[in-house]
Parts: sequence; structure tokens; C-alpha cells
Amino acid sequence: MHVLIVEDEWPIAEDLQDLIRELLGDKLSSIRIETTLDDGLDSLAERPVDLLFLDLNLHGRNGFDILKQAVACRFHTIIVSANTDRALEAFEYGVLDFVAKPYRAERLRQALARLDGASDAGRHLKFLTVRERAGLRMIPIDTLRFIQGAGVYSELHLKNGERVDCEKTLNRLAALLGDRALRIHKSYLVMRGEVRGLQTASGGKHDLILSDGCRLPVSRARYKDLKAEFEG
Amino acid sequence: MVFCLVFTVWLFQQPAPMPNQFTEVVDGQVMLTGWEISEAGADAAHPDALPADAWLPIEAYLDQPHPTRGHWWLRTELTLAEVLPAPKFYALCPEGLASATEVYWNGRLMLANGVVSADPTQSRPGRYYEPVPIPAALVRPGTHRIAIRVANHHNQHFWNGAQIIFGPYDDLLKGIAVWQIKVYLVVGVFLMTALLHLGLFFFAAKKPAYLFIGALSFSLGGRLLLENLWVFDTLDTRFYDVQQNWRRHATVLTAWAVTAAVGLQLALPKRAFPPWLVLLPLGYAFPTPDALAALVAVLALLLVLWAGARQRAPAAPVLGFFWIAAALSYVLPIRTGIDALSWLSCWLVFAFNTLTLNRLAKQEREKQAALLRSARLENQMLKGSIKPHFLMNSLTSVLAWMRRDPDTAGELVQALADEFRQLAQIAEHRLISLQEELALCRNHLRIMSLRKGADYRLEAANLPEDATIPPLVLHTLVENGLTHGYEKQRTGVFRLSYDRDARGVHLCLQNDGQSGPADGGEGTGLKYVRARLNESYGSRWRLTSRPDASGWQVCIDIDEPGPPGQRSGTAPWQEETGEPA
Repeated sequence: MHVLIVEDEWPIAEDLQDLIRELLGDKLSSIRIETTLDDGLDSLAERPVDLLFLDLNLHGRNGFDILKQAVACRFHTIIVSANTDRALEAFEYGVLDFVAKPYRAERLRQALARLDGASDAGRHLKFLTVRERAGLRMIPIDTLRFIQGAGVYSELHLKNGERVDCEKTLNRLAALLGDRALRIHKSYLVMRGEVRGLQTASGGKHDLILSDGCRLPVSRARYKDLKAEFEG
Repeated sequence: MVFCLVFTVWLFQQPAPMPNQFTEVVDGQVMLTGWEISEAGADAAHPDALPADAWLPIEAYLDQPHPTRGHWWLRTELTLAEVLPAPKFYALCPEGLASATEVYWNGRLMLANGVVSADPTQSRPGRYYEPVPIPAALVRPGTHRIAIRVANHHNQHFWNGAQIIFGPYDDLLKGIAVWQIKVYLVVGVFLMTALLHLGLFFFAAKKPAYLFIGALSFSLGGRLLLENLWVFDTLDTRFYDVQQNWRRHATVLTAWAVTAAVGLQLALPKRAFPPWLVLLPLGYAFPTPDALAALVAVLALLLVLWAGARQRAPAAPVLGFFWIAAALSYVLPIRTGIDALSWLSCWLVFAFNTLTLNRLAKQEREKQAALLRSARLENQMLKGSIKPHFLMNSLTSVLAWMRRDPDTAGELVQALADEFRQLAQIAEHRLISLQEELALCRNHLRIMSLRKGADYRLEAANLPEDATIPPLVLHTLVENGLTHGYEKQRTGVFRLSYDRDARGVHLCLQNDGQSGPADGGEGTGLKYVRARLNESYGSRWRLTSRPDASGWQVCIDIDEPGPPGQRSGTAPWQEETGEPA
């Protein structure tokens, strides 16, 4: 995993770096520090990362601009900031976690744990931000039907039938959406409110029926859990 | 207004009663007219002994040259039309006749008020107002001869617009009481005003105008008392002349001072006051207090109109209102017994009181507002320095250093403790010494150096020990410079220069950061600085913020306050108001 820390106070950045090294252990491939916004953006353009630690207040500049850029990218963003009054807003934009300063190692460990799975992170999420040619576009969560994985990116299927490409992988979107979405298949993530029921298809396979009648395949591994949830 | 006019006309249209006919049984009074005077036969022991050609109508006598001191006989007739109810006492009351009188009813002496004598050493003044009771048996229908022997050796004139009234004794006594009440009421107004303004002058604001109005009101009250004291004086008043002279001086001085006070209230330019002083002796050219009062009224009106037309003085409408009230009320019967000058002054003093109270209320409001502003600034200062953001980031640094280098963490904690201690010390001050401010700045730079892993310094030389500055002004500028100028630099030097000359103070904070504020917008920091400078220096400061050769510099110029009274066109009375923010 490649990590970038953007933090304008050098001692804190190094402290974060030490802690993250310790917590991620072998999973960490590289970790870099940038102390200004511009250097941070340059660094991201040069070498892609998997996880960004971002301070919201860099040299008096508003970190939300970079935050909006960041959440549209493929990597996860964890905010480490003293600006706790803007935590909710950060969650709405789609950050994986918001760690308040001063932080402790344990709190960082919890944030990193979110990388792997479902959590309540999605509770406050309001938008998925995607990069389009015209600029950033905010897709409200309640306009989503389901998401289809397509290798290193994914395809958002909206209620109005539109499809939108998203740079994040299905795994990362699953981590962001948390309980609000169901993983029914290696390649499908369905918004919980869109599910009508399960149906057995031919050949011992199973389908999930969406509220508009659309069918999506259910993987064998997930079927049991889904059946328990919807028919049990 | 219309009502007042109608009322006034009605008052004057009341038919005058028939001369010396007394017909009213119940409560009426009659003023006796048709007086004749005899100067030649004054030595006669009895009025009936005088020949008919010795008498002259009083009006004719007063119009020709005549002595004002000596002794005289006066006579007239009174016709009673009906039988008066016996239980009621009737009295004759000569008022204004000075200074000793003997009253005769049908040739019989009723009462001697003082001692009447041709010899000044023998004569003794009587009371000014002394009702002479007439025995009920003598008050019969028919015509009665009334004579008064008057001697004047103590007063300026024997006939002071004298009024001789016949009526029920108790009514005449009541008249004195009512008169006294009026006089003391007006005296009370003057003395309370004097108390208020003298109190303000001695205990609150040392404004000469307060002293002036206080002294004026005091002299107005004193003059009115002096004017009327002898009325009630039962003692042998040997000091009539002294009293009369003082009364004259007091009247002239009062007339002058009232007009000057009106001018002061209207914020007349200062240079108008010396000529005013020259006008003072002119007052003696006016023979009676009423004439002086008329002059004062006209001058005051002209002043009010002048100021009102030029819209120079907010006092003009107030004074105008009271002037109109004084003029309207002048003709009402309630004024009777109060001289014109006192009456007019009384209304003007009302106006002064109103204006003074207005001014005090305004001062109080301004004081409250200033207090609120100060409190808000103090609050803003503390919030700015102890804002959660600063505290949380600093604590985070402490934690980070604890893991990496506990000694540095301790140093940071110490610096933070110093900063908060210093803040608590200066929080309530409007100005602190430059040295204290410098210590705060250096401490802040130490904190920021430790936090950013950088080396920031502040250099300053030759700062005078007694220089002062509003708290956190430099601190805020240092903070701003640090935030905006040192994104990429890990070292930084701030330089403070301080110059003082005759014109004022020139303060410059220069830094070697790469840039100034990112955008043109004014942050809360600079707003705080401006508010603090406004609070302490009014409009006497300028702040410039611009890039220079090595980085950025912010300069504050503070002008020396000008000597007082240099502001043009400001009357001594006007408040010194700060520039609009």
C-alpha cells in the first residue's frame, strides 16, 4: 500500500508516518510526506497512492478544495485535522474517516481498519464525487441503484438509467458506503433500498431482483447471508 | 397654539370693573384707582386738612419731575354698594408703596406700617405687603374716603407701580402665600439646576460650560430671592439701598449671563464671547428688569433663529421650543408675581437642563457602547489565541514530540503555558507595553518553531521602555505573516522597527516570507488590529501592508494627539466625538 501524508507541521507528519508504519507493517509499500498543498497535488500526479492522510488547514488555506479533488480519485482519504466542526461535511463528501487532532495510535488503527470492510462510515455519506471531463460531479447517494465493478474502476448505475464511471474500485466504494450497500457479487454492489427480493434462476444460480424488476447475479458465497437477511 | 391665542385674547377682553365700585359680596377684590397725591401738603397731620388745590392726579405727578424721596399724602374714594356680611373681615392692602405708610379710613388712622416721618433719621421702613384690616363696623354702604401717608427714605422710589387693593382679609393673606409659593418654586428650579451643573462640574466632567450654567442658575435663584426677600421681611430693613443696588447688579449680570448661556448652548464660535463680555455694562442702560428681559428675549430668539437656520446646533430646536413656551406662558395669570427676567430665565433653564440630561444620556450610551466594544475585542482576542484550532494543533504537536523527543515536548508545553499566562495578564488592558507585546510575539514564534520543526525569530532593537501598543496587535501581524509567508520556508526572521518623533510613532514589522496574504480579502486578524487601533487612537493611525525587497512589511503610523482645542469650529461646549468607524 502506498501512503501519502499531507501535513504542514513537520513533526506531526513524521509522527504520523512512524505510527502508520507501525500499524500497517508489511502491508505498507511506501510512505511519503508533503508539507504544502501544491507539493501534495504534484506528488499525487506523479505517483499514485492508495491512501491519503490530509490535514484540512494547510498554512491557513482551506483544505476542502483538495478534499473534493481527493475524494474523486481512486485512493481513500483519511482526514487528520483539528477542524472537527467540519468532520460531518468531510464525511458527506466521502472520506473514509476523520481523525481529530490530537489523535492517538489506537484511533489511527481504527481508521486503517475501515480500509478492509463495512463500517458505519457510510452513514453520513451524501455524495460520490467523480471526475468528468467538465470537472468534478457530485452524485447524490440516494440516486444510486447499484454499482458494477469493472477492474480498476467501477460503473455507477443511477435510478434515471444513467451510467457514470467512477475511479474507485468496487472494494473501496464498499468501504465508503458501509452498511448502505450490499455486496451481492464480486462485481456488484447494490443499494440496500433498491432490493425487492431473491429468485432462483436456472442451473442452481440465484438472482437478486431490484425494485425496477432488473435482475443481478448473486454469488454463491453471498447467497446464504442474503437469503437469511431477506427471507429468514 | 390656537387655543393659547384665543385664551390670550379672551384674557385681555375681560371688561374692566367700574373704578372703585365694590359690589361683589362674596370673594371679589377691587384695585383702587383715581389716586391723587399731595407733595406740598405732606407735612399736614391729617388729609382732611389739605386744601383742594394741593392735590394732583398721581399719573400727572409721576409724569412731571418729582422727588423720589420724602413724604406724601395720597387719597381716593371707595364706594361700597351694599351691606357686606358682618362676619367677614375686609382689608386695604397697599402693595409696592415704599417704604413706610399710614392708612386712613374716613380720616381715621387704621394702621401705621413702619414709621412715617419727614426726617430720614426718624422714618423707619415698613413691610412691602401689609394688609390693613378695617373694622366691620366701618365697612358700610356708601362712599368712603381713603388716604395714605407715605414716606420714602430707604427705597429708590416710593411708587413702585403700587397697587392698593380692597377685599376680604383672608383672600389678601392667601395672595401672599400663593405668591410665595410661585417665587420659591421658580427659585427651586434655579437652585436644583445649579446643584446639578455644579455637581457635574466638580464631580464628573470639568467642563467650563457646566460651571457657567451652575453659577448662572445659582445667581438667578439668588436674585429672585433678593428681589422678593424684603417682601416678607418683618425686620426693620435698613439695607434697602444695598439690597436695591445688588438687585440691580444681579439683574444686569443675569440678563447678560442668560444670553451668553444661550450662545454657549448653541455652540457659538469661541471668538464671539469676548465681545459679549463688552456688552455686559450695556445692561445698565436699561432702566427696568422688564426692559432687560425683553432684550434678553429678543437676543435669545435671534440666536436660536440664527443657529437653527445654519443648522449648527442640535440645541436650537430644544431652545426654540422652550422659548415659545416661555413667550406663550408669559401672558398667563400664573406668572403674576414673578418678574419677566426670572420667568424667561426659568424656561431657558428648563431648556439647559433638558440639553444637559440629553448630553449625559448620550455620553452614557456611548460609554456603554465603548465598554461593549472593548469587551467584544477582549473576547475576540482570547478566542483568537485560544481558539480550539490553535490549542488542538499545539496539543497534537506535544503528543508527537512526546513520542519522538520528550524534552522538546516539555519545552513546547512550557511555551504554551507562557503564552496563556501572558494572555491572561494582558486580557483586560487596552494598552500594554511594547516589551510585553514583544515577549508575547517571541513566545508565539517559539511555539510555532517547535510545532513546524522550523526556526522563526523576531529581531528588535532600541525599543523605548515606555512605548505602548494595544494588546496582540503585533502578535496578530506576526501570526498572519507566519501563516501566509512561510509555506515553504523552515526559517524565518521578523524585524520590528520603532521610531518616535514630533509627529508621532512609526512602527514597522517586516518579514522575509515569500508572499503576503494570499488574496486581497481582509482576514479576521487585520479586522481585529484595526478595531484595536480605533479603540485606542481614534482616527489618528494608518496601517499599510505591502511587499518589500525581502518579503512583506506592515507599518503602523500613530499621530501625536493635537493640543486640545485645536479642532476648528468646535465650541467649548461641544462633545469631542471620535471619527465614525
